[in-house]
Amino acid sequence: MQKNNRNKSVFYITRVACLSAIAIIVMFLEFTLPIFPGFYKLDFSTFPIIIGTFAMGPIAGVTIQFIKDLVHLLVSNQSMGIGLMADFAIGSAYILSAGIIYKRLHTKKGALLGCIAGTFAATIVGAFFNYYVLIPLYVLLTPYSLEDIISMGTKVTGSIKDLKTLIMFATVPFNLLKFGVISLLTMLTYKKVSPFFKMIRKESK
Amino acid sequence: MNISIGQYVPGESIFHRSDPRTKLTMTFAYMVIVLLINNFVGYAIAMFFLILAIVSSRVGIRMVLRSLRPIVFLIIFTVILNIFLYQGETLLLSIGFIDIYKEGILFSIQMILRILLLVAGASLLTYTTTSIMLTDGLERIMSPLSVIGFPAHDIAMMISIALRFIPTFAEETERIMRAQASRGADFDSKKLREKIRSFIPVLVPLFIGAFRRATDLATAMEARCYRGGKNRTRYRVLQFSKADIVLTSFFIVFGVLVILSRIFF
Repeated sequence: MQKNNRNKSVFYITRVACLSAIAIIVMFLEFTLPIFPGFYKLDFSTFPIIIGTFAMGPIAGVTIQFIKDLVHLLVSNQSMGIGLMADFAIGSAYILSAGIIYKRLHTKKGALLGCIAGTFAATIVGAFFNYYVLIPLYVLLTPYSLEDIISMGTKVTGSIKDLKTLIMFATVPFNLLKFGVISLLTMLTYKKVSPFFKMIRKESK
Repeated sequence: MNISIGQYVPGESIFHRSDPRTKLTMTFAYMVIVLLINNFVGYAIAMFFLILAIVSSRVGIRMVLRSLRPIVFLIIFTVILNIFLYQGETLLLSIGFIDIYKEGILFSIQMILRILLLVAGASLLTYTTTSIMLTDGLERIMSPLSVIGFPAHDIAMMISIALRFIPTFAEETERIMRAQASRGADFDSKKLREKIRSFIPVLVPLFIGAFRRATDLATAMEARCYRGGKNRTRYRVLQFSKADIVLTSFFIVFGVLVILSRIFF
């Protein structure tokens, strides 16, 4: 029994590590979309994490997210970690809600419900976090003033006039799109990867 | 795909010899201190110490300049925005609807200096410390947190494994992408829909490969009796040395000077 436990934790460590490595690689493939201000970058790195979450549970997911952001911070220190802090908070909201729902319901339906709940959770957390923490911190630490950031948004859509409208018309749709796309990817690949979830779950029981 | 992880420049300088814990703490403190600077005297002091650090680290000024390359665009953007949009008191130049103020120019110079100092200073950490040492240092710094149940050792182990496997998986991704391209996959499409569709046949084999590799690695670790952080002996033992004392004392002088410059100027 004792040996079995130890065995489990080594597998857990290596699996989380390998998925983090993939998430880090995928994060480097980020790209900007012309319909959003330049500082909102789209990347699919949450996708490997959600796969890890479905396979190993929400805590493993948050760990992968944490390692991904920490390594990214050590390797490239752009914008002094503010973007990574955002990524961690918003990504964790998605992972936790999706992971907890999937843990209750190990089916494709559970995965779908989890993804939908996760998308909404991430969007809501994203909106509040941007409004109260990120954009004020961004203004404090980088040379951009609040007006610069808003004008970057105004260039894209005329309806962005202040911080509230920036969040309404840039942050919220951005996060909806980002996590919507990730959820879509997850659902499209679910059938192909889910045998692995079952295998890993069985192993760790 | 070009992912440069670990930009370590081998060397024997005082920065290379000092303990990663010292360097991590100092980098963090350095960022806070730079953000505290509010006048040109402070920037001059910081610049002086940064140049001193770069010279004594012997990584070469070219390497440090290379770390600044990704932020060139940010700097140019800042200058243009601040010079044109800043509303100051002393009008220097007025062309049509564009007014250039003296305060705007001074302000953007300060902002450039701030970004330069932050990025160049932080890059010294990754240039003089291997990723293994960094992870080791992080583990030791985080280890007090294990009292509240934070798995410092496990996290450090995961980071080391992840760092080790990034190049492997990057290569594998490239190989899979080429394999799928030879079957007619189109990765260069600008359309988001197409982009998503083309990613699926890459990601699925990548995951399967990752899980397989993780299993192999875990088996290998088991076979070598890995049992977590408890009572583990290390190949390299972290130790504070004379280099740490010298670096820390220079750093304290730097911090005190900056704070004095804030008070007196």
